[in-house]
Amino acid sequence: MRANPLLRAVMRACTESDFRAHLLRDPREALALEGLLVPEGVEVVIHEASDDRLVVVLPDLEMERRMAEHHAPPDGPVADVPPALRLEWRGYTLVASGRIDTESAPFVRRELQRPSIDVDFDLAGVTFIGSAGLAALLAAQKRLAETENVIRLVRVPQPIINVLELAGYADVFEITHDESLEYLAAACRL
Amino acid sequence: MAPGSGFFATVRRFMSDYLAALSAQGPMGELLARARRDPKLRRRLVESPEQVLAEAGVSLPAGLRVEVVENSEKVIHIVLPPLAAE
Repeated sequence: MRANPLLRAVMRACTESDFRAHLLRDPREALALEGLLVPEGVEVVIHEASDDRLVVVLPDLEMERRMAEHHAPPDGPVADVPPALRLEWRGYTLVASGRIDTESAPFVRRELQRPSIDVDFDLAGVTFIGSAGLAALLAAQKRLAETENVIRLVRVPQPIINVLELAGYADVFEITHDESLEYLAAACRL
Repeated sequence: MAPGSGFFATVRRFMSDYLAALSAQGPMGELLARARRDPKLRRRLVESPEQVLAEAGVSLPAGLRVEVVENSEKVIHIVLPPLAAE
């Protein structure tokens, strides 16, 4: 199962105190152990969440501006999708609920290929994905890969993860579980 | 650098999850969405975080200090959740 290397490092630092100490002492070296190479001239600063201090990180403003050029479709529900499936755009995230079956799969593929940047595909409300749906994901992934972008599957329910694993697709997509989001939320302590 | 490749793409994808986790908390989500591309709001957030959060309706425990930091192409900040209890 492929996870974002940085997310993996953060989670490892929450379960292994040795790795945490290493990350605090020498972030570049520790991140390299998780396969993440920090470019020269880039500094990585590690903050520890604590009971009396909340640190909020804002993304790179310049990067945000550049990403805005890779237009995301307008926010809101996608209108012409078959009734068994609902699709809605929220920023660069396509939120799906219902069934991705032979009838609705082509619409998934069409929507996922619209932006020219990474797309997050939120599957929290998906109750079924069949072979047509898997093929649609793969085709969209291939198209995005032409510009070095990826589809990330986020909030994937366990039954859908099981389908992905059985189909041999678990290593094809970067997948984020709800649990890893809970780890991150623990850093927010609100 | 191409948006899709390498270290900064990984950071961008991680930040997507991180912001989603922070945004699960209501008013904070709306505030962060506005701050993403608003340099004035960002400056205010960095300078007076507790005040800006309070104005946005984010309720904070008493005594909690807030620090807001910004990523750039030179500095990447990562917040570590607490070590899980053994």
